[in-house]
Amino acid sequence: MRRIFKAKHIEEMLSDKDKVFIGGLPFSGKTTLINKFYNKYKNEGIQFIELPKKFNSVDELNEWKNKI
Amino acid sequence: MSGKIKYKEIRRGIIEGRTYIIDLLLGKVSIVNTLSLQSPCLDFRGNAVSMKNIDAIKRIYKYGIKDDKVISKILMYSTVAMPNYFTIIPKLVNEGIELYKQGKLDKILEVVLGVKRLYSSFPKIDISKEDSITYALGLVLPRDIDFKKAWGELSETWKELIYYRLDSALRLLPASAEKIISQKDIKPLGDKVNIADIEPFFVDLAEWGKSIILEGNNLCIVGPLRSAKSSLANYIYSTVNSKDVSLLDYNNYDLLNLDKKIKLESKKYITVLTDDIFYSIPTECNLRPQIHFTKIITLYNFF
Repeated sequence: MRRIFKAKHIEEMLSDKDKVFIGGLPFSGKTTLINKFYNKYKNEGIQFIELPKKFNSVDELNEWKNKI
Repeated sequence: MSGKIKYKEIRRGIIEGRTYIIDLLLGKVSIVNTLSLQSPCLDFRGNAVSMKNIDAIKRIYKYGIKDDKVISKILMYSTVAMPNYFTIIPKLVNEGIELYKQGKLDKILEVVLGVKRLYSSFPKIDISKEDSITYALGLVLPRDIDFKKAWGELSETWKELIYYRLDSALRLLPASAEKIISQKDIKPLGDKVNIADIEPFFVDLAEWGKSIILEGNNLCIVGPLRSAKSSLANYIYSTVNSKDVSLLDYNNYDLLNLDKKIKLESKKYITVLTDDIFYSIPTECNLRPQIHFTKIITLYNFF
């Protein structure tokens, strides 16, 4: 159920998955954790995508669905 | 960090977002056309970032705050607990410290402990359309407060957490709750909050336990001898503060009697059991360990 994520867990997940989703509640420290990962592992080839927090329309939401 | 990258296709990457947004984009949930409080979506799943209670306590200590009662209040201000997940919100810890220094923490806590009920026990009421949002928010706000004044004093962080919970529970297009709340008048109808006296170490667990009980479950706390199970049970009991819950602290090996006791219990109960008793209980007792203390013991080593 609840697991405390650390930067090394992102590294582990990336070793067997191409896309890793890091979620959580608003302001729960997601960006801080991902920053730690990039600082520690210096993984150049790994893209970082921050999803929007709000959508103006269902179309906008669907556009994002296609991207992911 | 490489920052936001314009991309056409993600080959290998980290995708960060709020849990509800991820669920929507992955098609695990979809937006509803008709708003209703009848079947709120309260699941919380996937990889979620969390902050440990002990890290928050360390941060509060660094600011020179060492009074247990104050630390607990800052933690109450910053803990979010649902039946299947709980965390401390780092940004709220800083806010709590600041509010305490300004002498405003006690007052704002009365509002915050109210709105937190949207997470711990989302209102289950048969109401639909736009009223769902205003009614749900009204039901968790203590009835003696002035809405406009209280809302004005609430931090943007807390407001955002409220909007997020309403959007995700009612499966709305993210940002809908904010729009509706800004246009409507909210009438506080909720019960007054009860600020329990809890040791800092137990705040998040007590709130988690409370939300398990309020969800309609019985709670079973299992762990080794002398692992503070009973303390936790008592804290949860005082946090729930309800006549409909009883505490069953069982410390002998008469399992038949325990079985009888549980079956006779007409109220919701919080049971406390040591590991060995728990594992020898007949399965028909149907006790599920929600809080297993061996995990918590390892946290104690941080002190």
